[in-house]
Amino acid sequence: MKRLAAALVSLAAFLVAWKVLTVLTGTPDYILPAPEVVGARAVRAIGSGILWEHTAVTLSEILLGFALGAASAIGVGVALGKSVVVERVLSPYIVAAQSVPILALAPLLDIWFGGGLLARVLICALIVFFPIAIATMVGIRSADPLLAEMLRSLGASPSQLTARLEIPSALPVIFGGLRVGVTLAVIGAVVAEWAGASTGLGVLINIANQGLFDTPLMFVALATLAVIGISLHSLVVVAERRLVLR
Amino acid sequence: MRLRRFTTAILVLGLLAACTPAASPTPSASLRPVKLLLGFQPDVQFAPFYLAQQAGYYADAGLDVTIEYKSDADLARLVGDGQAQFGVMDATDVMISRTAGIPIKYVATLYDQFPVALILPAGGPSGGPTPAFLAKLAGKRIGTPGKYGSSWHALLAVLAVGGLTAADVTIREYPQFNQTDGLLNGDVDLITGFRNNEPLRLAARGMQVDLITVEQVAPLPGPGMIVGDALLSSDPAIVKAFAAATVRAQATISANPQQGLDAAIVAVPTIASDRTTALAVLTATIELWRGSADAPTGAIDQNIWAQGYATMRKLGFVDGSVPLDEMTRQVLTGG
Amino acid sequence: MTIEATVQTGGVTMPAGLPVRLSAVRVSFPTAGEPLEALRGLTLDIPAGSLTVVIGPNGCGKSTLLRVIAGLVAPTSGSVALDDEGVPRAGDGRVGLAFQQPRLVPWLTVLDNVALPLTFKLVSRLPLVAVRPGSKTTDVARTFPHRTPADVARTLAREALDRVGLAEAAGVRPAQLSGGMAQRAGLARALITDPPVLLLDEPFSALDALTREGFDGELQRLWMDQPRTVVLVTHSVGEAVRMADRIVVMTARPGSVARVIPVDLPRPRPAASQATAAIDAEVRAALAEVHPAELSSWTDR
Repeated sequence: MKRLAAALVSLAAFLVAWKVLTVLTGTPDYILPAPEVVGARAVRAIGSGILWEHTAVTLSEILLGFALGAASAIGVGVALGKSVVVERVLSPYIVAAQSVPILALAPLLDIWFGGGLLARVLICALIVFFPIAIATMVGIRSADPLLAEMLRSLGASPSQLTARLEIPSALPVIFGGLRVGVTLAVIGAVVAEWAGASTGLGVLINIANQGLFDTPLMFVALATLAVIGISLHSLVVVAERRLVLR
Repeated sequence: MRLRRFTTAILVLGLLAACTPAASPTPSASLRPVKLLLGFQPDVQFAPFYLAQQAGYYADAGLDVTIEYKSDADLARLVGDGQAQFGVMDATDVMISRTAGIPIKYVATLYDQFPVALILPAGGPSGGPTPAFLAKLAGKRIGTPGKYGSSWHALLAVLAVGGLTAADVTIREYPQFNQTDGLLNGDVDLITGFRNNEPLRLAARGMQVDLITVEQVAPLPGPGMIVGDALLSSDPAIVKAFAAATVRAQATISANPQQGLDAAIVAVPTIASDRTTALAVLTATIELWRGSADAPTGAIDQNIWAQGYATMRKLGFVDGSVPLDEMTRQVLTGG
Repeated sequence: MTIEATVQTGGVTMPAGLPVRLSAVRVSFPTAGEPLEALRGLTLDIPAGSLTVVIGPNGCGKSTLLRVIAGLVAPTSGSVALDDEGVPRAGDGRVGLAFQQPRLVPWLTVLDNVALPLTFKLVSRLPLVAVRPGSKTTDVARTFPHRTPADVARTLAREALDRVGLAEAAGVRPAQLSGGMAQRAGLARALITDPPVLLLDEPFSALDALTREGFDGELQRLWMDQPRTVVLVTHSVGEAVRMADRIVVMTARPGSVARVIPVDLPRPRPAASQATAAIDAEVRAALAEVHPAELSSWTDR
C-alpha cells in the first residue's frame, strides 16, 4: 500500500511539473499538449474504442516478442557462459547484430518474413535479445566455483551443474537483463510496426502525427506505451522477488 | 622587412576580398532572413523555389530564403509556431491541421490541379470514373504510401463516389513510397500516385497506365503555400512578396522548363543523374501548376475549396468546427 | 580404548569403512607455462576404519591428495583404490567430502542442503536397503513405503541433522547460520549417504580454538558411534595429536609421504599430557625437516 501511495504522489508531482512547464514556456497544444488536454483526448479515444484496438495489437507483439527473445537469449546466454569457444565464435555476430540500428533493418526483416505478426514478433525479439543474452552469460560465469566443485564431488553431470547451480546463481543477473529487455520489447514492437504494420500503438502515433495532426492523441499513444512498459516491468520485478532468493 | 610586411598585408586583404560573397549589383538594405520548409526531400518539383533563390527573385522581394526539408506533420507545426516563416503543404492537410488547432493559413496556390490520381494498368476496364465504374473497385488491392496525406484523402474521396469505403477494398501500405513496385509485380491492382511522377516512372519501366483524377469525380484543392497566423497579421507585406516571387519563378519555368531544371540541379546535384526523367517530370508538373490558365497565377479557387471541404467533412476527416474562411487567405490580389 | 574396527552383520564380520590404497601417485596440472606437479611418488596405505590425519607445509598437496581419494582428480600416473572395489568415482556414495568452507547452496534450506547428495543419486521407491560395508544399518532393511524420493531424502536429512545437533536449523537458510553451524551442516551433508570413507579438508580451521576443539570431540564421537575410514587434513599439530590414529607428514611440493607417525593413545585424549607432548614434538620435528629451510628458525620447538 505504501508503495502504491508513493507512486501516486510521484505521478501527481510529474503531472503538475508537466503542466507548469507548458504554462511557463507557453508552448501551444499542438506542440506540447498540457496534461488535461491529453487526458481529455484519452477519454475520447477509449470511448471510441480506437485506443484498445491498437493497444491489443501492440500488447500481443510485445508479449510474444519478449517471450521469444528472452527464451532464445537465455538459451544462447547459457551456451556463451559455459564455453569460451562458443563465446569467441558467436559474439562477433551477436555484437554486430546489436550495433546495426534496428530501425534500418526492420523494413527488410518485415519483407523477408512476410510482413505480418510473425515479422513484428521477430523484430521485437531481436531487439530484446542482446541484453538478456549478455546478462545470462555473465550470470552463468558468476557461479561459485567452490559450489561447483562440491556438486561435482556429489556426482553432478555438466547439465546438472547448469540446471542446479549455474542457472539459479545467474538468476539475479538474468532478471536484471529481463528488466531491461521488457522495456526494450515495448520499443521493439513500435519499431516493428513502423516497418509496415496497419494497426498498433506505433501506427497510431503515426496516424495521429501525420494523418490527423493530432498531437494530444499522439501523446495518448505514448502514455499508453509508457503504462505498458511500467506494468510489464513491475511484473518482472514481482517475479524476481518470488524466484530469486534475497 | 617592410617589403615583406607590405606583401603580407596585400595577400591578407586579397584573401579577405576573395572570401566575401559576390556582392549584388545594388547593395541595399540587408535582406530579411526567412525559412522555407518543403516536404520530405529535395525534388525537381521544387524548382520554382530553387530558381527564385538563385535568380534573385526572393532577394528582389527583400528576402533571404533558407530551405529545409521536413515531414508534413513537423512542417505545419513549425510554421504555425513561427519557427519557420513559409511552407508548402497539401490543401487537405491544411484543412485537417487547421481543424486540429494549428494556426496556419493557405495563402497561394502552387498546383492549380490536384496532383494525386489513381493509377491502374492501361487496357483495363474502360468507361471513365462513373459511380458505376468506381463501384467495381470493390475488393481490389490498392497500393498507397500510408493512411494519411492527400493520396489517402483522394483515394477515399474517389471510392466514396462509387459508394465504397476503405473497408470495401484491400489497402496495402508502402511507407517507402515504392507503390509502383507493387503495381509492376502484381501485388496490387492499382495505386495512388502523383500525376506528374509515377506514370512517367512506370512508363520508363515499361508499363502504360490509365489515370482516374479527382476533378472528374470529387474536386479537391491542390498544394499551396502556407504561413502562420502570427506572421500573416503582423507582416502581410512579406507574405505577399514571397508568394509573388514564387509565382514569378513558376511563370519563368513554365515558359522555359530547362531553366527550372538547371536551377534544380544546382540545388540538388543528384537530379542530374537522370536529366531526361527529371525534365519530363518538371514538364508534367508545369501543366499541373497552370491548370487551364496560360501561366500559374497563385490564385485560390474558393469554389474548389468549398467542394473539397464538403467532401472532407463527409469523409469525416474534418468535423466542421473550423470554418473554411479561416483556412485560406488570398494574398495575391488580381491573380 | 581402541575402536573395534568391525561390525557384526548377519554373521559376517566386515570392516567398518574401506581401506584406501595410493601407489606411486603423481598428479600434474597443466598451466599456461610449466605443468604444476602437486604430488609425486605418493604411496600410502590407509587401513579401513582408521582416523588418519594428514599434515604438512603449505602447498604440499594435502587438498589434492583428498581430491584424488574422492575421485575428483585422476592421478597422472600411479593408482588409487578403495579396497578391491577399484578407482574412486565422484558421487558414487562411497566417499563423503567436507570442505574448509561449508559450501552450502544459498537458495536452499539447511534441510535441502543436507539432502542434496541424495537428489543426485536418486533414492528409488523400493524399500531402502543400505548394504554398504561398514554401515551400521546393514542388519536392518529400512522401508519407506508410499513416499516420494524427495520425502525419503528429507527424512534421512533430518536424521543427519539430528546427529550433528542441528535439528532446529532445518528450515533456515545458510545465510542465517553461524560459522560453526554451517560447518556442522556441511558435515551432515557429507555423512548422509553413510559413506565408508569420509574426507575432511581443514574442516574446522575457520572456527575459533575452543569451538574447534569441541568439534574435534564431536567428530570423534560420531566416528566412534558409526565407524568408517576418516582422513582429515589439518594445519594444526594439536588437532592432529588430539584426533589421529596415524599422522601422515607430507613433504613440500611436489608432495609425497615423509613420515607416518602412529598414535596409540586411548580416547578421549587429554588436552595436554606427557604422551601427547611427546607425539606433538615428534610431529613438529618431522614438519621442521620438510619445511623450507629459511622459515625453520621461526618455528617453535
